[in-house]
Amino acid sequence: MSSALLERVATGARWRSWLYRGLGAAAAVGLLALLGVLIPLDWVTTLSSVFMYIMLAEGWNILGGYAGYLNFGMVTFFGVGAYTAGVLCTQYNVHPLLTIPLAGSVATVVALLVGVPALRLRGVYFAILTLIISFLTQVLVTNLGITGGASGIYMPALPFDAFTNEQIFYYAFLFLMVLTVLLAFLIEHARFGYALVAIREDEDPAEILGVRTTWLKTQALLLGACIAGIAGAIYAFHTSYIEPQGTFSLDISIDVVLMSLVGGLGTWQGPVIGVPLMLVTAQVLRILAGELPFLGTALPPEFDRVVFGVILILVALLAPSGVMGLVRRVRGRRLTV
Amino acid sequence: MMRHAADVPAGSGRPSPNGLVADTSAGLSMRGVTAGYYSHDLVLNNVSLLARPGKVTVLLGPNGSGKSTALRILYGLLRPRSGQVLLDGREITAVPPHRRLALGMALLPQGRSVFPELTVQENLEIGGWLLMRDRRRLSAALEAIYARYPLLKEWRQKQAGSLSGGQQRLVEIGRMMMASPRVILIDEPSVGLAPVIVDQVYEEIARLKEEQRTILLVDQNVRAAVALADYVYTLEYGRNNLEGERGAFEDRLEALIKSWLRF
Repeated sequence: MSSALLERVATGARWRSWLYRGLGAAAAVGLLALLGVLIPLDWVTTLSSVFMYIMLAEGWNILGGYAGYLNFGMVTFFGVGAYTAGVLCTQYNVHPLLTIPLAGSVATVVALLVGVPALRLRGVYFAILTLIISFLTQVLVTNLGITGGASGIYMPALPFDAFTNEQIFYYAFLFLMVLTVLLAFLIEHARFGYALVAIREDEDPAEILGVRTTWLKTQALLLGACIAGIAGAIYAFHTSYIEPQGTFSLDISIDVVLMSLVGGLGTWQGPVIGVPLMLVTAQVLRILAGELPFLGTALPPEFDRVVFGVILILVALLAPSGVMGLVRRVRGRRLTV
Repeated sequence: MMRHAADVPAGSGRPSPNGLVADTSAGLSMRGVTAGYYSHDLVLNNVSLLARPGKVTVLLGPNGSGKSTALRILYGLLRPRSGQVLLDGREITAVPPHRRLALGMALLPQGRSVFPELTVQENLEIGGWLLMRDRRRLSAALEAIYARYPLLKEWRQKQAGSLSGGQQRLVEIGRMMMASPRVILIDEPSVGLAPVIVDQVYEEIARLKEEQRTILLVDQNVRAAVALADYVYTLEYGRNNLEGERGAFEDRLEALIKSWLRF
């Protein structure tokens, strides 16, 4: 058989597998869209939160997962996005829909200011600097006049009933999450993605080969920051009240890293798996625990952290490269045998 | 003829700082380079080298004599405290590494440097980073590499990390050749490889030499390196020591190596 024919058969098979994957993804999105009108209010809220965290984790993953630069300050860009929307909307009467792209832009500019110095550092030095910058931003926002200081900003509410409001945010987050996941998928299969992986695996040879590593890392940070800024703006309208302690909470940064880690770093599927795994498990356990008589009804908010800790320990023991690492290992075994 | 750096030849030509005559208008050279990593130590002390165009230049010296540092300086990974790096007579001392590929330079680093989690083809594509905006030229370059190294085509879907050390070396060479460089710097090409593979690596360097590429080879495998060399430099304690054509070195190799083993 000629090799040209073989190649054509292989191409056909590849096209078909892409088609199936595309149909599968479309079906999943369709199902989620349908769920928005079927499930009760508390689950709509939980899933909105899942979609938001998937956005954040995918955005974080571009630099943190592919390029291996651990950014512990993702909340900086999220918070800047939320406050941009808040300040523009309440003090400058900008239309709420217009504040969302503006929030993304402002977060990107902040990322540029942070990234240019920070990305000259490597490894743990970079991680520490991102942490410092996130605390710095929090202090700044608490003490500035324009942000309302520690008392925060009340956001305008949408003129619908509570359930419709939740559904609107559900679909907004769903739409943006799909776009973000698509972006991550494209990056992973483009040379931008390969170059980021090359930076993670060995930065010096990448530079020797002509890859402008610092600029690529900056681009990765900017993309992630833009996504986080947009998510932050919608979050601001969703919670209807933002203040520095919650909006710039270190917990958000840490959770984004943890969820990506659990799903698998440097894969577009990682956040899609890790985020629901942790958030939905926490929610289910909270409901179950609430029904147990001896635990009572008043579970402290720290309950989530206990659940996350247990999941993290299990993942570290059983699947050190995250769920996707496990999947790849099983798939590799099947292919080679 | 073999010369010692201390012999200042009287004659025509522009003298380089340590006194040797070298025409630096073609090829890759460094002039009077002094460099180090910390303020209190000097790794290179007023070193001058010239990789002649289309020739193989070998840089030898005992451990710690500054060979790898000289390569780092030549590729811009380290800035000299004083002195210059010239490519075809043009000063490039401050040009950053990622821009040197566009000047026709390439560096094959010491030890393993493939990106293990990327496939062989993805590794090669990163080697063609300069052609990023030109899909057609990139795939032409890729095809040229596959034609040149048919084994790479067989392995293209494999993860580079799953290949053996020798196979990874071939990926590294193929990746470097994606940009088809004119001036090639090679750092210790045979370290950590099986003897059979080592021979193949030197055969490949011989092929690059036949293609009239300018090669600067830093090597501990003195015999193999000198066999390929057109011109040899030796460093000692970060200074120029002996230099000369290959013929002058071949019979003195043993004495030279013995003298390095003394310390």
